[in-house]
Amino acid sequence: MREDPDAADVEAVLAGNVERFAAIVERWQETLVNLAYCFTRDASLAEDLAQEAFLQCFRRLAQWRREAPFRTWIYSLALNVYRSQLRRWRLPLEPLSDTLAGPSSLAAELLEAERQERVRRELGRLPPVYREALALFYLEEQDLAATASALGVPVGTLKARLHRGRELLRRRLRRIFG
Amino acid sequence: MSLDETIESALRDSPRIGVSSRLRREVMEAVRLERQPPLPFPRRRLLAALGLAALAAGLTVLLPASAAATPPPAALLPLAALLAIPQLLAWIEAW
Repeated sequence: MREDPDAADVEAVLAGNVERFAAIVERWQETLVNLAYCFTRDASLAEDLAQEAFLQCFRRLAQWRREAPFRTWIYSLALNVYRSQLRRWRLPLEPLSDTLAGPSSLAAELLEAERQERVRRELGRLPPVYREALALFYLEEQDLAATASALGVPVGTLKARLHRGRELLRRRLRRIFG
Repeated sequence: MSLDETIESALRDSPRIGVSSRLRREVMEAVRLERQPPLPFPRRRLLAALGLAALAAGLTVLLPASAAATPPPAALLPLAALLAIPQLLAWIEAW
């Protein structure tokens, strides 16, 4: 049977080998930073959030119960950290650029790119349950079971949140795009 | 592109950002400063020890008091306090 690398590293860190925590950071940093980036749309802020999540992870490492996968535990912890930080931050949204509304195909492409960027930013403004469901679903390559497990909810609940989240996005964006 | 297509495409093709080496370095610096994560709180052993201590203290207070037939109410206060400690610790930990 293959050993779970997370479990092995957690054991080592708890036994006093603090340097092994670097392996956990290495394994999870891209995922946690990108999850944060879904909410902030700012690379530097996303790294700050991920850093705080890793510190909390280190402090609470002993609280990880092996019944749940490490993935579920670290997602849940990171989401808690992000949630509380994002409550403190109020990130301003810049208006859509008027200069991009030209007739050329390049302008149309740029406008579509900016519309997509606005969708991603609006995602960060959804209520947490919908924001987290949508962000994790796409981060987990649209795997319903994996996303539901990471969020600790049944697949049916996740489906309902995805549906409602998309509906909210649609309504907000209709107001913005006209 | 319709709004629905824009939303789906924006979420599905969200560009992934790279991670700078700063993150791991700073996390590890902070972690080294903290040295070691706290070990699991030895709740069961501590609660068992406190329970035994409370029992012993209770017997110490109650036995002479029952011998005197009417225990003074003041003698029960420390006992009540001792009995409440494990519950209080369990509550603090859960919180």
